[in-house]
Amino acid sequence: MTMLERFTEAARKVVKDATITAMNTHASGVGEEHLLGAILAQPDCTAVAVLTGCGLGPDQHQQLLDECRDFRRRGGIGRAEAEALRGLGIEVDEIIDRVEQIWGEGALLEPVAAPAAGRWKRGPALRPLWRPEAKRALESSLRQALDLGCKKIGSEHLLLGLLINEGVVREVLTARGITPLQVRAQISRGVEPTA
Amino acid sequence: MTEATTLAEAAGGRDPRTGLRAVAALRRLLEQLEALQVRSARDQGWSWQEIGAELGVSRQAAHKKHGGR
Repeated sequence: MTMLERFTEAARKVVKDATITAMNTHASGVGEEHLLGAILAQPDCTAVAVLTGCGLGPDQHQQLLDECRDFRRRGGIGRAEAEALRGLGIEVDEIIDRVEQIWGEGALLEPVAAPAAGRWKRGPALRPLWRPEAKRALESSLRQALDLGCKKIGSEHLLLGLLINEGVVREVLTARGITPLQVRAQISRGVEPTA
Repeated sequence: MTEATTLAEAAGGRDPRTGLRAVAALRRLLEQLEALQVRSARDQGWSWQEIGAELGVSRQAAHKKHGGR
């Protein structure tokens, strides 16, 4: 069974929608924030219910995505890191502001680490590149599903995959006190995911 | 605790975690800024030789690091 065959319909839609958003916004690749955005865009999926259970209601969804954008805008520097730099007298936001004044908004939007940034793979169909972090999140979601005794991967496993690996989604969720353990505790063991 | 110590601690002066995190973040920021500047220099027609000279690395090193973009 390939990975995509293991996905529930909702999880498959997440991957598809994330890809579409990444392409429409001319991102250099599909990132974790696109996956999160696609999860949040499905109000009936299990992952959204899990987040609500963690105290993150739908009214906070947009803010969460804005925080993802800010994180990228700062070139992948999180709030705690910005705080640490402030301790050295370095104001990251000030630097970003100046850089954007010169090079335009979003000049540091894309982390350098993304290989071949700004390029879409040429092939029979125009296919977007995946950021390594986003790819890792997908792989983790499979491991998490198996670990929880499920053959299928649901949106909740995708969320867990995003939360377990270093990246923008982990950054913004843990900043709100939402931990992988907390999310995992809300996922029923051995019950096949439906959405 | 004196006020000065409190301030130093708030700034993460002695806490290795905060200190290391700051260094790592600074390095990341540096890499981004370097990439941005190199791209800008290339757009303005600078050679790898010139870029390397300003960065304090060889022409080959500059090209190897940034040439793929």
